[in-house]
Amino acid sequence: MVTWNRGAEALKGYGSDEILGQHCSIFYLPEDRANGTPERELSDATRDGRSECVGWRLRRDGTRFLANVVICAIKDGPGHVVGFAKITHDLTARRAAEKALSDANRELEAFSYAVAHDLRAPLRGMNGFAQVLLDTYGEKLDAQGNDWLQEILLNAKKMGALIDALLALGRLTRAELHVERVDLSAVAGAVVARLAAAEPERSVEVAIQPGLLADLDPHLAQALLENLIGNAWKFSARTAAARIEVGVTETSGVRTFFVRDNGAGFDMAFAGKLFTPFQRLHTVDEFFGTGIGLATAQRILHRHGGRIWAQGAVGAGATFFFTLPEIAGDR
Amino acid sequence: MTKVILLVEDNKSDEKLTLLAFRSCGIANDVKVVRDGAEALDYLFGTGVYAGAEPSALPALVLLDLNLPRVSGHEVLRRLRSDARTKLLPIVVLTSSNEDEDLARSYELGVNAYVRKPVDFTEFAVAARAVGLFWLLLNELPPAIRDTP
Repeated sequence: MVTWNRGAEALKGYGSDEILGQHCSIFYLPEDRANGTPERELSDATRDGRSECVGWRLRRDGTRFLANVVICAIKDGPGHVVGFAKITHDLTARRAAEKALSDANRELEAFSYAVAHDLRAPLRGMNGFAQVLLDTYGEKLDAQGNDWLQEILLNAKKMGALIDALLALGRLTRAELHVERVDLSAVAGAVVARLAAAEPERSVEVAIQPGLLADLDPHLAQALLENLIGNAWKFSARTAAARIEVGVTETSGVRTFFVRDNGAGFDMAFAGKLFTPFQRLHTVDEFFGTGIGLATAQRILHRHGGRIWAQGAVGAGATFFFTLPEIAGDR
Repeated sequence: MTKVILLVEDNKSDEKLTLLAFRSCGIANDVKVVRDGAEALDYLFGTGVYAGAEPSALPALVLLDLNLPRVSGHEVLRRLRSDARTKLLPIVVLTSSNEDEDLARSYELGVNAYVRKPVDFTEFAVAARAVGLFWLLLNELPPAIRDTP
């Protein structure tokens, strides 16, 4: 050590009078010293100009702390290494904060999950007895009474759909990822077939580019396309000659998949709200939905390290673009 | 004499709805309702509050909720499957949960069927009818269960 600043003194506890002249291996754990870690980090910095690592280090009083250490080689004019500059960050507080955050998140997940589950039972009671009332006494009620009972049933149904969507969203966050090569074209085809079977009266022209391969969890791939294509399907319901296109393009050199429709579209001013849970850009009466489908799609992509964004205009359709990191290998 | 159906259900609204659903499709079996897992075990094994009572015949079918006070549905299942008297008794889980873990655990413990209670009563009635018709009429039981009183 040839220089020693106040930050280093505060972090490690040595005064400059006692540390100058010592070798930097003094900060390493005995086992790291024994296996040559200090020398290796210095030789890495000599070779590459810089080395960085995270590991345990020792203070003067012998206590340990988790550190991020960056070592830069200092070179003279002809390029010979004449010394090293070493910057050490104490990660203890950050590590503790990260752990607290992840614990809190887990707790929140468990909480919302339990809430969603427990909400189903009373809801079933409300819906059930309204239905029984309607079945048993509907004839004794006038049209107004029947209408109000229908309102109760309709609202219970909406709440049920919301709870299910919430549960599904929570499940996505907790499930482990099993990433593999997935044929998105085949998944998209199956999704479209299911949508068409559910609404045989609709006529939608669908174009799916063949051979769309991506690396992601196959279950989540299905959920992703169900949400995106389901969205396109729903919002093109009032469009004559509805058309849905699934394909791939390139944006700034990155393979970008897209799902495009010529349906109701949206105002780009609200594009930021599209992916927020329960945010809807249309009323439930216009297009029924829970406001959670696109949030789900976004969460799936984020979990895989991908991105999603949208382009559209009111009355002129919408296009949802998404990227997924490519795992090495030829396509 | 038709055998009873044992309904293990702690929620009174769900109990009434299940009974209404059965009645609406003409299932006439008596339904014995117990409120938690411990009472279910006592009823089936003649212990606790059911000790000393005339040993009751095995039910034709057990409808088992999972989230129950005192002894959970999964624990009831485990205990029933590890006892020779109830090892083969038809048990259908009837629950709000469709979590993979709950499904997997129930089948590992030897449940015969797993039905999620829909929120919508019409769907619930359809499910109850299907369960009732299948397990009470269509399904053939193993002799050990069929021939017990």
